[in-house]
Amino acid sequence: MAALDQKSPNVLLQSLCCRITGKSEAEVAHQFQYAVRVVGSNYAPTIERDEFLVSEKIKKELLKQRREGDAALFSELHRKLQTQGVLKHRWSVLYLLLSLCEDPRKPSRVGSYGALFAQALPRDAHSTPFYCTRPGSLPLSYPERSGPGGVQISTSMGTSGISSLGVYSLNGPTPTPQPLLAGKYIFFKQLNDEVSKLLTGTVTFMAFVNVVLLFVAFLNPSFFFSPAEVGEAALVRDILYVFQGIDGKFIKMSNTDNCYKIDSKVVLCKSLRDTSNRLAELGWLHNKIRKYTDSRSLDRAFGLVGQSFCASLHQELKEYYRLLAVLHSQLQVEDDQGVNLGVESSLTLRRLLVWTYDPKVRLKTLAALVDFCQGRKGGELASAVHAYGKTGDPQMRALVQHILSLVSHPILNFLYRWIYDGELEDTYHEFFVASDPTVKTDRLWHDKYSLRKSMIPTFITMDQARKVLLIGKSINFLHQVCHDRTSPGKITPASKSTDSPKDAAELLSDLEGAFQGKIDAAYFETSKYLLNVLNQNYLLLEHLQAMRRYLLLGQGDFIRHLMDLLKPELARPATTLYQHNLTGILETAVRATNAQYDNAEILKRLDVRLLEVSPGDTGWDVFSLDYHVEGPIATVFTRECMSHYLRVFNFLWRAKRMEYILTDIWKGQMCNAKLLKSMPELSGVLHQCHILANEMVHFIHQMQYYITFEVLECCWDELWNKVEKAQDLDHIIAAHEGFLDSVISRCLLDTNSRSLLNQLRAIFDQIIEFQSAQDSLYRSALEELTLRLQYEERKKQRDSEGEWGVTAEQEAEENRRIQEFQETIPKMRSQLRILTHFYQGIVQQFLVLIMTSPDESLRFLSFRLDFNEHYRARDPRLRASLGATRGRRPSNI
Amino acid sequence: MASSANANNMNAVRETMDVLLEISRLLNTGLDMESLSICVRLCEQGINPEALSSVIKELRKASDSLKVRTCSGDRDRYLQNGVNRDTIEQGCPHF
Repeated sequence: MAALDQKSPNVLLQSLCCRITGKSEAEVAHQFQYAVRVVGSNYAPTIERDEFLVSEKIKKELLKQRREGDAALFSELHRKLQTQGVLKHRWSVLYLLLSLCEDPRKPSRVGSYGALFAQALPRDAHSTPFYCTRPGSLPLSYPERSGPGGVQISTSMGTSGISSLGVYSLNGPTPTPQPLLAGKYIFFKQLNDEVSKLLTGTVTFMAFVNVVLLFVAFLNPSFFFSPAEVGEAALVRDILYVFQGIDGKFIKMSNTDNCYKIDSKVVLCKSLRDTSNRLAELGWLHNKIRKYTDSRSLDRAFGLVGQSFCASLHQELKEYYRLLAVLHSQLQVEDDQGVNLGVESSLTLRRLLVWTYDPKVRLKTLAALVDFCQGRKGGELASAVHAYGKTGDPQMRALVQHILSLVSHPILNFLYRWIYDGELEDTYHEFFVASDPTVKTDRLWHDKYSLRKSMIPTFITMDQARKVLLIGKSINFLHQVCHDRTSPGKITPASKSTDSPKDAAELLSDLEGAFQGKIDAAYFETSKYLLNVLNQNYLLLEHLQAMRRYLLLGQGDFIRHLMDLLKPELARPATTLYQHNLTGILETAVRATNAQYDNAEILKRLDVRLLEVSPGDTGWDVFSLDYHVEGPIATVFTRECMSHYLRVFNFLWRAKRMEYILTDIWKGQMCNAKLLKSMPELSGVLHQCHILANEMVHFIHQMQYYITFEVLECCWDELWNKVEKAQDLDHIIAAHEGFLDSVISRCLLDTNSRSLLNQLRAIFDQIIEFQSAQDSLYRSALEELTLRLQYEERKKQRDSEGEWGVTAEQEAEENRRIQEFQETIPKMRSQLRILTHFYQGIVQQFLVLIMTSPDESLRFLSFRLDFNEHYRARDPRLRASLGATRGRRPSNI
Repeated sequence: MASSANANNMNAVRETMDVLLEISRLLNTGLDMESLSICVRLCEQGINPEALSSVIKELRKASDSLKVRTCSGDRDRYLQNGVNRDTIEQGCPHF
């Protein structure tokens, strides 16, 4: 390497200059100076110091010249160079060689650059003071930037632009088009220069050509910059801004008219004005949609449905922006390449009209949707979007369907979560099932979950919505009330929920089929499971039957025995009764009858309840049976239901008691009739008693028949059928409530039949009175009888003893007593007569009332009560009303 | 030892130069051996090859123009001095 390092760079440069130019040292001083300056200023290379890159470039260059063989040769040589390892800066040498590389095919450009140095050199030669100094003292390694030489070169390049243009036109090869628009100012200057040159004398062909070319460039229409009228290109640029909602130079948003208006100061031909107006509509639509999405994105309480709506709008806007980007790039390309693209592919307002037609239709639909959906959220929003899908235009329909599928995706998610897991996570109240957190578990079934009607989307029918509510409710009921922890997955083999909007779209397209099928399947499975649990674990149906047997006096033997046992207790005043006594009696009754074979679950719920005591009550008035319910059973037998049951029990118990009383009366009558045969004066009274008793018995019999068969049995049958066929708990509850309602109305316990009930009560009271009257009658009669018998006995005895049978006083006394007795008889008779009359009056009133009742079975009851028209004969009212309406439907009275 | 090392070095250098000359001929740079060696030396000393190549290009242009100029200038001078045209045509090879 010693041989290479001998000389300093300056010396080398000078020798290089000499070598290349072929002149002596003194003559090349100027060039040498220049060289030094250039090398000094460009100290750091601007290119990457990568040898591989350079060698690749060289190869590419060679290949471009179609010299593949040479390229291979070069690779060889390069490898050799690398192995020799003599050079330190191989890359720089290679780069140098590359840059000096000349394509043998290209024409020499030596002649054209003639002008360059010719102009520069003389100036330089005179201005530099270092003309004669030795090269060694010139600084070479300072990084001088932008020496004056650099600037000079660029201006000279600038000025030579036109001349070179002229030269090119002479030489022939097609030049690349110069950016005429960019150098407008320079144009004018050069035009000036060239024209002056032309005029001042040195008329060369080149200068003339230059002038001609400049004029041609000047005359180009796009070159015009007339401040009076706006060109289409500028308008196009403006319109592109307006499309995005930004005010352009000429077209601005006018808030008063809420539209885009062209500035009135601008001079514009009518057609352009009209077209721009039409195009500006797109910007208006865009603004509208953008405003909506922006304002909604700030709204925190907008909810999931609203957010997905905004997201879908965003998506559509993105497509729109994409179109705008394409248009913009089109414009950009034109800018870069000037007008030489030709009129065929430039961007005009007409072209914009055509290309934005489809987007305009889409944006119109979206804007209309946005308007319609203002202020809605949740299910309402989905309904609104769905309403818009009912259109004939397939494009619009497709768009709206797409949005609908996105929007309803959250709702369907909610729905699936609800029906498969029973969970409701709805912070923004968008779903149509609402949960009331204040409700406790005992009212879970009835009160906790309800339908939010406004949020039901229109593509889900009311029936489906109710089913959905029911399914979720059942699952929650199972979890919380029945404490059944089976996972919902076991109940319904859940198909996967909607994971993506695509599933939602599929589902929406087939609402009738797949969706309904899903809901139905879930519904059946869940309800079946629930009913199973209730029946097996909680014996719902057994309890229902137990209610019938005990509270509705179905178990006859038990009730009769109970009444027998309770009779002495309940005759006492109410205040003296103790519950535990009565409970004990109840237990005895249960054990003695068939009731003991009942399920222990049921028996332990049976209990005695003492109602509120008012003064003067006997035990009969306050006694009641009770049935305890809790847990899931309490859902069916709610508190209201239980109170209904108790009322019915009360009524039935009273009726039973009447029957019981009358049985006693009849018994007494039978027994005493024989005994009192010997007192013929009583026969009339007794006859009266018998008749009255028979009437009462008949009445009560019919009532009992009516209650037992027409009311209880029929309703029970209906209930049982419904319960057996029930598909879910709601059905059972409804059937049960219907049962109770009909029982109550037919037992005259509801508010409509209050008057009837009062009549009945009055009848019952009369019966009780009659019983007491009869009792007193019998007592006195029997007393009398015993006294008489005693008298006879004594007489016989005395006879047998040989004395007088009766003394005169005794006889007189006896006769007096008998007389007294016989005087009481008419009193009794009148009493009985009053009683009878009263009783019959009440019964007639009762009959009149039930004749006109809307209930068919009551009317039939009246038939039976008065089968031989016994009452009709007595009462003219009855005659009229009965005659008028018997066998016919009653008119509204 | 040193001389053999030197001799080896000289060989290596000569070979490298040969290779470079070959490459330069391939690339049609127009550099002869002398210029090439000067260039290589300059590059080895750290000169920016971009600058150097632009210098060389300018020098070439300058030399061409100078030749033209000197030819035409000579012609004018000769004309002014009344030299015969024929003499000039013989004298300027690049005319």
